[in-house]
Amino acid sequence: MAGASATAVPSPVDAGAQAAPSLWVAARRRFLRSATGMLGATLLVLFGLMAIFAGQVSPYDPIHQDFRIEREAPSATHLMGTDEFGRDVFSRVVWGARVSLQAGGVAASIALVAGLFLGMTAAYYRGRTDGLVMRSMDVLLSFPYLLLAIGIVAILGRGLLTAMIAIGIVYIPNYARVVRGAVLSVGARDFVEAARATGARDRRVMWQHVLPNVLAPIIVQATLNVGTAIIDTAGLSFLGLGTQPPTPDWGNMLSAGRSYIIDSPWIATFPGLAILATVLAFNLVGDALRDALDPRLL
Amino acid sequence: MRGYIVRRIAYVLPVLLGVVTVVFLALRLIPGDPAIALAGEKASAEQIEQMREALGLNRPLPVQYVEFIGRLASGDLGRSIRTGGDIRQELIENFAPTIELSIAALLIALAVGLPAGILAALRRRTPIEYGTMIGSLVGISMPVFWIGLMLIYWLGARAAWFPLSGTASAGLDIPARTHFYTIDGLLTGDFTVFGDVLWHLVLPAITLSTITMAIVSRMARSSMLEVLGSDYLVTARAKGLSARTVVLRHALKNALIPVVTVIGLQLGALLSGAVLTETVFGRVGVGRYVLNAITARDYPVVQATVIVVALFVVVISLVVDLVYAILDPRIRYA
Repeated sequence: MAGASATAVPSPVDAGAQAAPSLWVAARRRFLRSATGMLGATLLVLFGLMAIFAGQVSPYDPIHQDFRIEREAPSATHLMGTDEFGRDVFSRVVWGARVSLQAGGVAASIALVAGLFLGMTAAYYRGRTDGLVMRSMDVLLSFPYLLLAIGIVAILGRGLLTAMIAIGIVYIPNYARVVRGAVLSVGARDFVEAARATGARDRRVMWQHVLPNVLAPIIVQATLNVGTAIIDTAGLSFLGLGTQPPTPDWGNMLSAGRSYIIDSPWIATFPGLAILATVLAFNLVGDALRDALDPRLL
Repeated sequence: MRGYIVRRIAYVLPVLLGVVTVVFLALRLIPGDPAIALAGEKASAEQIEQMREALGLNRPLPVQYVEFIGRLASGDLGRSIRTGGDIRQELIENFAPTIELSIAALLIALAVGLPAGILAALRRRTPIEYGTMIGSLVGISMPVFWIGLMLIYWLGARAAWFPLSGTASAGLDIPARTHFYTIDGLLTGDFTVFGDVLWHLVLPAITLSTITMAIVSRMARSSMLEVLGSDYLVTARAKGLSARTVVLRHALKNALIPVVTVIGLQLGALLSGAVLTETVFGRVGVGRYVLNAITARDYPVVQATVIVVALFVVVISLVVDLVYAILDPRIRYA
């Protein structure tokens, strides 16, 4: 995607070990040269601004009901039409961005923090710790992710917070595996040995020497994961297990739109398009970051 | 090969036990009294007691665990609080249509994704490759439940090509034998019934296939590209073989091997997507079964469903791994 030659640029691990700034500068240059990556980043900035300034962007109150205008088709007054309660679909999509982006971000962050800790612990201490952590991850991976999330919501109760926690837990093994693999490849390198030889404690070696050198795959994984977390938390809301009405969430808007799909398809069409555009943007950025941070994949 | 099989099974057994233990502990380590938490704050003393009895919560934890494993090993999944029925039987009735839908989706994903990925690799930097790559990127970015709704609207309501929802037309008498609707439809000997069931399966199967299709096409493309650049294909070309023979007789076979792993890796995703797809299309299946159970706080059903589906995924993944090892000797000797 980016135009750099695979042979001219060292691998991120090597580069990170020898001259950390050059990796990030080179990666940024490669990312800025990627048209698809920039398209994704632009879309994300737009969605982010829309979520932050939802109050200014949305023309109507997203939860104000007006039965005189229920299920009106898209028009100049209501760009995306109105829903079964006469609420403006565009305003709900705009406010839904705030909920959905937050849900995806929080779920992916929960997974990132837990996965980072577990993956680093497993790889650094190896032996029994590694076996125990990674077999536990295998157990989590055995569950179809949505069924596991449903099971967690069943125990913790419905709602946005539990949906985010559930999806976060489901994603932990992905991070743990990526982090473990990256730490194993870095952990045996000379600079880590040198840090140990200076008497640095395990925690210091892990966070100050190993972590900065395994960030590249983690950043890529996290970017791609926010997109899938948005889809999956929306999925839980679609099933009635996540965000509860009347709070606008792209998932519960789709769920409501399902009953009116024949006569009023716009109620479900626009929130779905919003999910598609957002997740596509995260995927474009994630793919471009992968290419930028790992020239070997070019 | 025997050594590899033993190693894989030895690896899977602790995972199976882990799955069962996680589900067992998840319900029992809720702070406070799990029976009250699960039955709900508004539950009567009788309902709480019913929950305690149904889940065996009134005995010490280690005893509960041993009993739990013992009952599972004998195939006893308990009784549903909501219906009072045998959960094992109810699960068979509901899981079979889900497996059927997932298989149909997998077949569509392979039928479209494989040729698309292979063509994309063979026709580099052409509209075919760009189209496949863009299509797969969009495919993995769409929520299945939205795809389903759009298909219902465009192909069901607008074009009237397919039924809008359901597993079969109302009033159709299909004696349940295997609980796989297509097979039961065939067994009636009436092709109208079979056709009806198949017709109801098309849109849900297309819906569920999209993500897997996208992943299969990406994987087939990269795998084919890797094989096309390998030394033995250079030799094949150097021998003067036609491009067609090189691709069909030499490249394709090896390029398709890694795709087998996709089947194992995608199984969990397919079953997860099936839960959503069944909800969109109002189909009988494990999704509706477990969601109804959650609404009714029927935790024995939730517990049994999660365990059985997870065990199913582990076992099928094991089978896929073994098939992969048969196809690719490098795996079993690694």
